[in-house]
Parts: sequence; C-alpha cells; structure tokens
Amino acid sequence: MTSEDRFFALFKPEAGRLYRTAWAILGNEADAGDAVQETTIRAYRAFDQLKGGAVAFPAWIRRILVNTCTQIIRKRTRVIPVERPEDLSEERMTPDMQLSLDGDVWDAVRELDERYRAVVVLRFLNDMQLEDIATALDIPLGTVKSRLHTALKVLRTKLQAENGERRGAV
Amino acid sequence: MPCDDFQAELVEYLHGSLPPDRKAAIENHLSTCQACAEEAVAMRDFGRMLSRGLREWVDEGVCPPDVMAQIEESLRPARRRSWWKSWPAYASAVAAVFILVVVAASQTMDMSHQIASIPLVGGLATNLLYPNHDVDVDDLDGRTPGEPVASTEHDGVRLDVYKPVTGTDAVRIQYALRGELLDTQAAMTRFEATLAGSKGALKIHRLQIVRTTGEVLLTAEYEPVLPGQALTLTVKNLPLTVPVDKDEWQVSLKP
Repeated sequence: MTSEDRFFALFKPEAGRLYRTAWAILGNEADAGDAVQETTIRAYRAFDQLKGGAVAFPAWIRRILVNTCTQIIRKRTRVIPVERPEDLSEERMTPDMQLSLDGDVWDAVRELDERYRAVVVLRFLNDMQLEDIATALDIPLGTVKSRLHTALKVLRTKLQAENGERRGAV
Repeated sequence: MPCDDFQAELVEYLHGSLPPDRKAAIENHLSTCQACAEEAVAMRDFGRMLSRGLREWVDEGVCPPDVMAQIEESLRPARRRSWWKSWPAYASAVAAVFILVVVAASQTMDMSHQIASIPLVGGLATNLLYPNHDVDVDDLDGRTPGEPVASTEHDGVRLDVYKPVTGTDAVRIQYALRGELLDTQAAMTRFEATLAGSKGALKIHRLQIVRTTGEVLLTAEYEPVLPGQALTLTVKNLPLTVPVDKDEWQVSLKP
C-alpha cells in the first residue's frame, strides 16, 4: 500500500466529521468545503511526519482543520473590522442573534452570531481550553469568557424553552 | 462571596480555568448557597448536553461528493510528487527543486519584492550558484552538513542553525526549518530573516532555498564581519502548516 493509499484510507472515514466540524466553526457549508480541502492538502503534505500511526490520525487531522478554520476566522476579522460591544446582554442582542424556536442543539448553535458560535464550538465540540481559544482566534481571554457566558445563557434559555414546548405538546 | 460574583465566575469555574484561590472561594460559596449550587450543576449538565449534541451531529456528517471531488483534484500535484519520491534511483538526479536567488540591497530578506524563481535540476543550479563550492549531492535532498550549532523548537517545528563561515568577502550561514511546513512559494514570500552582528543587521548578498517536503534548507551570504563577532539570526513569518504561538524566532551564535 502506497503512502497515498494509506492517507486516503485514513482520511475518508473522517471526511464527514471534518466537514461538519468546519461547518460548525465557520457557520456555512461553502467555507467548510474550502477548509476541508485546504486541511487535506496540508495533512497530505505533512503525512510522513504523523507520529502515532493510524490511531493518531483523526486527532492529528482535526487539529490541522481547527487551525485552518481559526485562520479563516482571523482573516475575516482583519478584512471586516467591526466595532461591536463584547459584553452583550440578552437585552442588547441583535436580531440575528436571537434563536429560532425549532431544531435541536446544532440548530440553536448555528443561529448564534459567528463570534459566539465559534467560541462555543471550539469549547464544547473541540474541548479547547479558554486560553487556547483566545490564542486561536486572536482575541483577549476576557472576551472569550464573556462570549461564552453570554452564548451559554442564550442557548440554555432557547433549548430549555424548546424542551418545555415539547413536553407541553406531549 | 455574593451570588453575583459567583455568576460572573461560573464559566471559568466549570472550565477549570480559575486560579486556586478563586476556585476555593467558589467552592466555599457553593457549600453554603443552595441556589448557586443548583445553578452550577445545571450549567455543568447543560455543557455536557451541548457537547453531546454537537458531537452527535458531527458524527452523522457526510462530506458532499463535490467537495470530495475537489479534494481529489487538488491533491493531484502532491500525488505526482509522491510518485517521484517512490523512485529513489531517479530522485537524486532529476527531482526538481526550487532555487530562489535573491540579490538584495536591503538589510532583510523580505523576498516578496525581489525574488527570482528559477526551477532547475538541483545539482546544476547549485553549482551555478556556487561555482567554486564543492557541493555534495545530498544537500539537494535537504540534508545539511554536520551538526547544528544552535536550535530552537516550537510546537513540533524546529529551526537548526549550522556553523557560519566567515570569509573576507562574505559570511555564509546555513539554517533549516523542519516540521509541518507549507510547501508553497506564496508561503515562502512572506518569510523573513535577518542576521545581525555587533553593529546591527547585515546586508544580504545572496540566498539559496532548497525545499523538500517537511524541510526548507536556506543558505545565505551576508556582508563580511570582523572575526570573533557574535551573530544573531532572527526569522519570522515562518511557512508553517500549523500556526504556532511564537511567530518570530531568534537564535544567538557565539563566536
């Protein structure tokens, strides 16, 4: 089996998870496709440096993916500098941050504003430490904390309301 | 501790990022305040539910066929390189490497404005660049002579610096980056390096770069310096696959 065969044998079972992880971080499928493509090229070129063999591959390529995604977010931030208050209270949330009343966990998370969604996904899907999220997104640690705090309040209110409605409907 | 203070620190407490004294204060408060204790449990359970829900959604993912097709297409050039690498008998003779020659007037190697890219067969190009230098063909595989005199490493990427050679016309220094490196010219055009002596940055006269997968070997010639000087090599904007925290690396070389 060639190196190329080995790479694709390991990559293909992960492709769907990588795609959705990128979608979760970046918020749309077009950017997710680009991120997975770039990640695959990077991983393929560095494949001979993978330590730990097949077992280590999923975590290794996911790390490259997360770095690729956070790079994309940082570029977005540089291209579109937007001055926004970081300590949004629920009363000050913009309409696009309000959550709809249908769907499950992902439906609730996907409707968060990008600044909040990325922090939530990096923390709760990718298990990143708050300090690492701050570094990856190039934002202060305090901003990570405040965004997480606000996002969790919103999500909790939203998902609890949904659960309440479901229970009421039964 | 007032309940409002607890609420402000709840996120950090649940994510284990509070300093020990604050953590102890929170736990002390939780032992005396039932409402906050219930809130902490509810928030912790909610976080677990959030993780589980996101992971289930990710595990159900399927990469769309058009994205897979694009990936296969984009890997074609890299796959061709692998084919050449699988033929070692031919590789040392004909594997094309990029030789980037810089004749710079500035004090740094900001190559984005002054680069000339000459893809040539390695041995020929190297001999053209250094006609009086006896070149070992192994150099073309990215191997460097001898052991490095100084190294620095961050997040799996290593910078090895080899003993500088000081002559009457120039100082020559070789250094290599090894690890998860981007193998693109665009990445290399952002790369910068400065060699400084006791009187500041030296003017660079010539630079050779040999890139292979996972390794970049650079040979640079600078204006001459008086013997016995300490030199400092600073590199920044490294062509890394995976970004690292430290983007500017410095290595000091004793005389």
